[in-house]
Amino acid sequence: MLGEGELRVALTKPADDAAAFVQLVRPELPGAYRLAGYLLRDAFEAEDATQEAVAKAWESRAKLRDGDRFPAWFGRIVSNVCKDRLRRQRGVRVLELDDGIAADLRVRDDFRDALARDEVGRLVRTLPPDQQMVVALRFWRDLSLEEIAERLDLPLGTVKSRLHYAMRALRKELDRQGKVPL
Amino acid sequence: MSHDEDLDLERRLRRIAGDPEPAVPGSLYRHLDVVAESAAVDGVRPAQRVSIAAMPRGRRSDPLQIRALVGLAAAMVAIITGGILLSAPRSAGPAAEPSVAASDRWTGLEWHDITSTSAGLFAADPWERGIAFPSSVVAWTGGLAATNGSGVWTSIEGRTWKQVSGPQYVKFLGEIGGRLLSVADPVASCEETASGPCLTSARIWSTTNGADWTSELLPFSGSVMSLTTSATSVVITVLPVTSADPSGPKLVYVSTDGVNWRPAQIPADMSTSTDLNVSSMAAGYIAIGEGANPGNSGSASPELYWVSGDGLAWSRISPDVPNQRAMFAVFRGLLGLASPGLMGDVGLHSADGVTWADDQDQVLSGLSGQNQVMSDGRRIVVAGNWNTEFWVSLGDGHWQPLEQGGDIVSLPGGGQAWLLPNGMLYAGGGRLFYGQAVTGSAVQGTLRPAATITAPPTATPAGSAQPTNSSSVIVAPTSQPSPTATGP
Repeated sequence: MLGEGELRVALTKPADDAAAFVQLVRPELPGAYRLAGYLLRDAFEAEDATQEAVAKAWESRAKLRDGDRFPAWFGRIVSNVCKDRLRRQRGVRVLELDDGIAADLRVRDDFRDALARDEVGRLVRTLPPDQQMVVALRFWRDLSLEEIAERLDLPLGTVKSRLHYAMRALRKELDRQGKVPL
Repeated sequence: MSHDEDLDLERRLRRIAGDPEPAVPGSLYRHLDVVAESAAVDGVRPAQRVSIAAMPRGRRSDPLQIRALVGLAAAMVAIITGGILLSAPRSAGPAAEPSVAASDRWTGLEWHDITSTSAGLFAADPWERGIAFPSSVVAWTGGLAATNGSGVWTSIEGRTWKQVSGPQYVKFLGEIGGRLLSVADPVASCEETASGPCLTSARIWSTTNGADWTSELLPFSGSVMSLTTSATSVVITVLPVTSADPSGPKLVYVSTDGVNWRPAQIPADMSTSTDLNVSSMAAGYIAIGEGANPGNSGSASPELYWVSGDGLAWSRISPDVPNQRAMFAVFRGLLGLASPGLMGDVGLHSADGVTWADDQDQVLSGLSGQNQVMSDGRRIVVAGNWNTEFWVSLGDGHWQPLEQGGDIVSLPGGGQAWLLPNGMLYAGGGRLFYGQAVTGSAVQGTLRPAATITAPPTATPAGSAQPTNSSSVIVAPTSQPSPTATGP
C-alpha cells in the first residue's frame, strides 16, 4: 500500500490514479457521510451528497497540488457540496412528521434520530447555512477553529464570528423557549 | 454570554453526534470501488468523457436542460423504443419448452373504470403536464406493482391499487428471483452548483414482500435508461453521469439478485448506438440500436443487433431479416420474438433472434393513428387505431383480435396502455381503465367506438411522469416518414 505522500504523487500521474484515488478517499468517507447526514438531516441525502463529493473530487483531482493534504482538500469539497444543498433547502418548507406517522412510514433515519436527542439539534436547522456549517464542523466533526477555517477556505476571524453568532442565536432561542409556559 | 462560555450548549451539541454515530452504508464504498473499476472496464477514463463541468460556462447545459434532455430521451424511448417492463410468470429456465395453456390464449377484454380505486396511481389525463399516470407496471410474486414516477402502488389483480411507503422518484420497476426492484433517477439537485458533474447514482429499492423496502445507491454513476429482466438476471443500461448527451456512450450492468451488479463487456458500437433497446429472449437478451450515420444526413442510420446469454458478454449479430427490412424493437412472447418492423410495415417473428420471417397475420399493416406494441415475456399485444383496438400474439406470427366489452360505454382513444398478466391497464380521457382478459368465452357488454381521441403532444412535458418502459413502443404510421432502411 502506498503512503499518503506517494498517493498524492500517484494522483498526479496518468497511471493508477483511480486506485490511488480510492485509497485516499476511502478513509474519508465516514466523516464525509456523517457531516452530510447531520447537516442535511437525511441518510439518503447524505449518501447522495457524499457521492457527489466523490465525483467532484475525481473530476478535479488534477487540481490537488503536491503538498496539499488530501483530507482537507476532500473535506473542502464535501463542505461545499453540503453548503450548496443546505442553501437549496432554505427555500423548502419541511413539515415535521408526527412520530406515529413516521413510524408508520417505516423509514428510520439515524441522523434524524440523533438530532432529535436534543431540541438544540432541531434549532441548528434554523441557522443560516454558513453558521450551520461551522457548528457542524466544530461540534459534530470536532474540528478546531483553524481546521474549520482551512476546510471552508475562510479567515479564522470569520469562522470565530460565525460560530459566535450561531451560538448566541441558539442560546437566545433556547432561553426563549424555556420561558414559554407549557 | 460568549459562545466560549456556553459550555452547556456545547455539551448538548456534542452529544448529538456522540457514539454510536450512524453507520456508513456499504454502497458508498462500493460506489468508490466502481469509480476505479469503471475507468478500467470501459477503457474510457472518467475525466476524458464529456463532462458537464468541463464545458465552457456559456455552453454548459443547465441541469434543468439536462434533465429535460433526459426527459426528452425518455419520451423518445417511449415513442421509439420504450415500453412496459412486465415480468410475467417465468418459465423454469432458459432451455424450458414453452407451454401454451388455455389462459394464454386471450380472446377478449372486459373494461372497467378504476379511476376511483387507483389510489392516486392515476390522477387525470396522461398527456397533461404534471399529471400522474402509470409509467411502469410489473408483475411479480407478490402480485402487481406500478409506478407513476413518484412512488410505488401494488395490486393483487390490477383493479384495486394501494400505494406503499418507501420508494420515491421511481423510474423503472423489475423483478428478479422474487425480489421486486424499483429504480429511481439520480436526485440531481445541483442547480446552483458552480462546477462538477451533476451527480450521482440512481437509487434502487427492493422488497420481497411489498411492504418492507430496503434501498441503496446503485454502485455506479449515471441515469438508468432501461431495465430488462430475463429468467435469471436483470440488465440495465446507464448513461454515465459525466455524459451530458442522452445519446452518448452507455454502460450496461448486470445483476442476478438485484443487489450485486457487474459491468458488462459491450462492443463499442453498442455503447455508442442510439435508441438502444434491450429485450429478453428465452435464452438471454437481444439488443437493437442505431449506429452512426455512415453517409450524409439524408441516409438512414443502420440498425445494429447484439445478443447475450447472460447480459455480461455481448456480440454483434446480423439477423436474417426478410427483404433487409429494419426493426426498431423486439418483443418477447411465449413462443418466440416479434418485431413490428418499421412504421406501417408488416410484423416479423423469430424463434432465436437470428432468423426472421414475416408474420402470417399482418396486423400492423393498415393501422392508423397512434399505435402501441407491448410485451410481458408471455404475450405480445398491439394496440392499434389510436389504441382502441387490440391484437394479441404469443410470438409465433399469429395475431388474435381481442373482442372488447365491459361496463363502460367506450374506451377513449389516444391513451396509453399497459400489459398485465391477466389483462390490461389503459389511461385515456382523464380516466384509468382495467381490462380483464377473457379466454374462450364471449365478453360481457359491448363497447361503442371511441367518442373522443386525446392525441399525444409532440413532446412529453419534462417534469411529468414519463412512459419510460422498455418493452413497449408507440408507433404513429401516419405522422412519421417511412425511413429507407439499410440492413446491418
